[in-house]
Amino acid sequence: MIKTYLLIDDEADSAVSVALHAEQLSAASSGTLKINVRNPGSMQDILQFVATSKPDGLLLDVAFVNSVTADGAPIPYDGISLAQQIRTLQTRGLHQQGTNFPEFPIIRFSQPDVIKQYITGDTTSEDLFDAEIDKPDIIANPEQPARLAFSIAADYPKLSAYARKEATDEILAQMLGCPTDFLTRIGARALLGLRRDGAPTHVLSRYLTSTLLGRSGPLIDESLLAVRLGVDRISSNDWPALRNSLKNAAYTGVFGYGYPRWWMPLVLDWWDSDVNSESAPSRLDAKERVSQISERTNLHGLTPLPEDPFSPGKRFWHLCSRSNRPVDPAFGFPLMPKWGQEPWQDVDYLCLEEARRDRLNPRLAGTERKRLASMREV
Amino acid sequence: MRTREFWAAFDQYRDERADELFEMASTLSDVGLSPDAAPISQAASQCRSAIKVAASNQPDAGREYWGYQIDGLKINLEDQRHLRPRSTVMEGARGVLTITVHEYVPQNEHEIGDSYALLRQFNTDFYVDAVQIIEDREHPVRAAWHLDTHLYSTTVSRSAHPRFHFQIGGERLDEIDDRIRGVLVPEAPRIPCAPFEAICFWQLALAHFGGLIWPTLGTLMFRG
Repeated sequence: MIKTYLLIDDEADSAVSVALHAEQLSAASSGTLKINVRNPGSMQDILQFVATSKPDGLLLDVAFVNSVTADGAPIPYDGISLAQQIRTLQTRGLHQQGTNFPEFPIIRFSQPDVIKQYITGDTTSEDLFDAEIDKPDIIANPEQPARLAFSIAADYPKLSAYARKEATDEILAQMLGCPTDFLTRIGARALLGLRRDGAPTHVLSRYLTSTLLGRSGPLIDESLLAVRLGVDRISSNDWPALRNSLKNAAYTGVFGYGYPRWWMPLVLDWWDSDVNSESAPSRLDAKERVSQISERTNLHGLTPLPEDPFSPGKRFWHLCSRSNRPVDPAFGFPLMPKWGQEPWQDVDYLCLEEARRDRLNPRLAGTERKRLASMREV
Repeated sequence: MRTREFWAAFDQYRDERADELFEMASTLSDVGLSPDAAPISQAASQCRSAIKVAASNQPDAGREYWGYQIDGLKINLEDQRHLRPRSTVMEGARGVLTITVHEYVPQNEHEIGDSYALLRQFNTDFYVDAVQIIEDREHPVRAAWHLDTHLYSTTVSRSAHPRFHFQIGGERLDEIDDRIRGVLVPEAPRIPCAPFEAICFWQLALAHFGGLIWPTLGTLMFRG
């Protein structure tokens, strides 16, 4: 299956880098992504082009300062305005006959310095985009952005079909790639965002990418999976084998190819059935977890997470939201939820070192600041 | 007889327990009483995990049970009164709650919800860390107590060991054992008590240690 993206960039005609980005993304996808590049031009022209060419998705630059109209005048809009106009047309197309604008994903595709200039601190445009890819990531590590872009485009029709149906438990479970009775283990609140009547596909998509898959909670990513099993995956030869033994816990729903995740309740089920320990993993330190896993699975190339003076403790369960160090909750510093953070999502933690560097962080509650003050320097 | 109707009713019973726990996690987050309520959400997600079987070296070997664990739930505490030692500073103190609940699977539809009769194990502990200030130096102090199930109730104990009992101290004092001075914490007594379930126990801990937040939460959570 090949998915075609249209990359709209104000430097499409002049700079080598845009073509290079397109080529690298396509090459990293093993030929599953085709990227066409186009300069935005006037809003009317680009909307007409998008409507007729029907791409599987858009990669959209944010700043259009280097683009001009056919008359040579600077174009009076940017990528955010274009995204908003496309979303409006897509939503109208769902509710109004004769305004049939195709539904497809829009991925924000820009340089971090442009994002800083245009967006940082302003969250109003975030919901316009299904996902974000920073241009430098294409150079550094193009495989993951390519998987993400392919996965979103490939699964969008499934999500569109879901959006048009009544969200029964069966249909919702099918979309999430899990048995129907598993839904009760996720918690009703976590699923509310996928049960919105009349929501267009991009609203559901955004809920998946930013809320359910984008933050740990019922679903966790590979780095956190390793922490909860007590494994230092970088120095563990048997990590791929261990990860493979957890395939029944893997998320196989919509966008699962682009967002490798594991259901935390099923990871704990695996612990019960395959490791068969008397104790839950959170009650054991990293060495004990790895020792019991090795004994039961016969995987001996696993290294436990080492102790770390910058993040004390042994019962690691979280990742520091700043340094990515494993954090033992008994020694880490929970942060108050960000605005919009759901109660069923995991709380962010800072390790001791980062908390010391950021003592005035407004998300550190008074009790945590006092606790921090009482801990002696290492 | 475990019919299809039995399993549907039993699943619904476990779903209701899960819903209660999810709701409890949300309330704790909403009121800011716990900095991280994820241990409760994780317990909720365990309510419908696979049914386990008591091992051959355990009481009631072969009998099926289900359950959940709340591991290390942190609770922000208000100042406490009449503390010993008097130099203890409770400002910013935190309680940590751990609960394990196992219930046997009922034999028939009529037994569903008979939690007292089916309770296999209820283990919980609650400890509070604070500091004691002596000559301007801080010394950590800890209060610990637990409600436990003596699962092996047919074995001989050196002291009274009721099946469900309350006890001061326990393993949670291990971490500070070499710093304990002036207070003796013997194994006895184990006070017999009624078995609990997670929300009742959490309510108990909060009612005793939660201070002024307790009446507010009582209104929010325990209306029924």
